[in-house]
Amino acid sequence: MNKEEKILMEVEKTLNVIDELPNLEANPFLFTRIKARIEKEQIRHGGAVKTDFVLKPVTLALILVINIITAVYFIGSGSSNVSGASIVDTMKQEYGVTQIQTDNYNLE
Amino acid sequence: MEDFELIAQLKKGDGEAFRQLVDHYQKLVLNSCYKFVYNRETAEDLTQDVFIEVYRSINTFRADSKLSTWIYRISISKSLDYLKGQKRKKRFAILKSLFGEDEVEERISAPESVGPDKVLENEDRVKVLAWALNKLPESQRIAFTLSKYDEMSYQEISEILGVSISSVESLIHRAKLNLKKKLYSYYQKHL
Repeated sequence: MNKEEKILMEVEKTLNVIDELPNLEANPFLFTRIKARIEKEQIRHGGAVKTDFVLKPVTLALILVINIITAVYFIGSGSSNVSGASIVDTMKQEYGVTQIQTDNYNLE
Repeated sequence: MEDFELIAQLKKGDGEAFRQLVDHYQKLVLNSCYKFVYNRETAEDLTQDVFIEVYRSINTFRADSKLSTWIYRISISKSLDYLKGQKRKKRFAILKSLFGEDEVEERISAPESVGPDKVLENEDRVKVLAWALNKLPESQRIAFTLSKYDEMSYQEISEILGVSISSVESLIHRAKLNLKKKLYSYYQKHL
């Protein structure tokens, strides 16, 4: 038998393996396993929904409280009323300027 | 129970209907996955995935094809996704082996129905066959596998693939030619 014939024989034998592949029988516990996996997933999703359900109002309440505190702080600090003139004085001292033209700037 | 009744019950979330569906189609799903992955354990895992997918998406099933055709499509899709994942892993493992880590583990086992004397020879042949089938274009591979292993008619394959019967004929013809070519070149190098 030459090499060509040998190769063709091997090809044929390998192709014939297709007919020898077994027809598998399903595992008797297949349904139980599928059911368990589905239930596990449902519990996981249920858990996520519950967490969202609890966390969303808590987050909203927290944001609301932060907003109220911020608003109260700004309203309260508004009474200290820093005037434009005092800012100019501070800048003069900071940069060592003795005379500054403020006519064109309506700071007060 | 007829398919349309089963589908209606499944859409209502009837657990008993789902059990009946699994009982009826488990062998078909298991074997169709096995003919793609050549490993019993993997085929069993994929079978579970297929039925979970069926359970999740039964409400999207519009009955414009047979239930078995739809389940076949899911089986093929899951099997091919698995094989693509394996290819990605293999590429990564090759990179790892370049850095001195372990070789890729082959997950193709010998056919289980043959005698012990033929196991080793067949194990090698199945590996070679799986390798050659993996080299075929996806549509050729599916058409060939369904035709050869599952003994499906061209009509059934055309429904699953969503192509004409003449396209199925052409795909199977080209798959056979390509498969022979791949095997020939393999044995040319390895004999």
